[in-house]
Amino acid sequence: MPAAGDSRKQLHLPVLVFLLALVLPTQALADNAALYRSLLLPGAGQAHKGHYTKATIFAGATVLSAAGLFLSQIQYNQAADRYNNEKRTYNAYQTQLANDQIVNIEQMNGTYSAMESAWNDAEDRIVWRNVFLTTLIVTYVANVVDVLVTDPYSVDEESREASRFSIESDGREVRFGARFGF
Amino acid sequence: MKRIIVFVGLIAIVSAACTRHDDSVPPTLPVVLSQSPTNFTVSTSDNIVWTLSWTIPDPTVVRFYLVYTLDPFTGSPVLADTSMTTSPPDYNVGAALPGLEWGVSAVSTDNVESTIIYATAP
Repeated sequence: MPAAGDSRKQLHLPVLVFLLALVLPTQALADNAALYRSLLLPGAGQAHKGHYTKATIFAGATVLSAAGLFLSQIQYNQAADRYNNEKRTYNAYQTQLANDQIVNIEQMNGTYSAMESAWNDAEDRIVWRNVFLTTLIVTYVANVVDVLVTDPYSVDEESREASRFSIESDGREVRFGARFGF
Repeated sequence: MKRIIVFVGLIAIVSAACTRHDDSVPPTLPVVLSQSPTNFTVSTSDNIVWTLSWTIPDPTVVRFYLVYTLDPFTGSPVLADTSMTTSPPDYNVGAALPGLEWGVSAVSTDNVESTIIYATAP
């Protein structure tokens, strides 16, 4: 199992990418309304350019990963708090023993087991927290890159990009068809 | 530049506010432990005076023993004696208490009490 320090190191890269994504747009792009919409809300720039399917995908992925990040962060905080409380209790035994107070070995072992269990929970949950954080950052960066490289939607693209579903039958067999346009 | 400083500052504040846990679980406390007493037997002829006896694998790490009786109503151990450093004398409980259950544990030189061992008269 990787140590929490490794997880924190892994966290630095996505945070750096996130910061770069925020600060890289320069004055030269200041007049790009779609870019600023996407910077504020992923998918909004795509919607501004008329790509509603992509806008829905980016917005949906952002909402899902943000919700996952929020919930996994709460769960991680709970596990880390539980670990820190158990650790405080366990370390307090040392003070009690030094002050000539008797501590039962089962009580000490029980606290140590609870501390280990909470630490394992925190390790598991920080992995999920990092997965959601990375997903959110990747979605955000992909959204910004996409809005920079994609041209506005044109009427000519309508027939090419429209999503279609079809069912055809010639009496002997039935054919189902699906075509997705972005 | 101002914008960069603001975002870096925000990230630093959020990171500092988040709860953290250690890179690994701390080691167990470096304390001297005593094994529990063994061969713990209880005998009585009148259910008033009780004779307890036990052995200990390594008496050099034992500071003293704790003798308990088990509360017949709640089932929890009640501390009866905290001063035994060797084999105890007979215990007179003052009234006939048939089926009284006794417990004993060893306290190490670092004040860590072992698991309590229980026994009752046959």
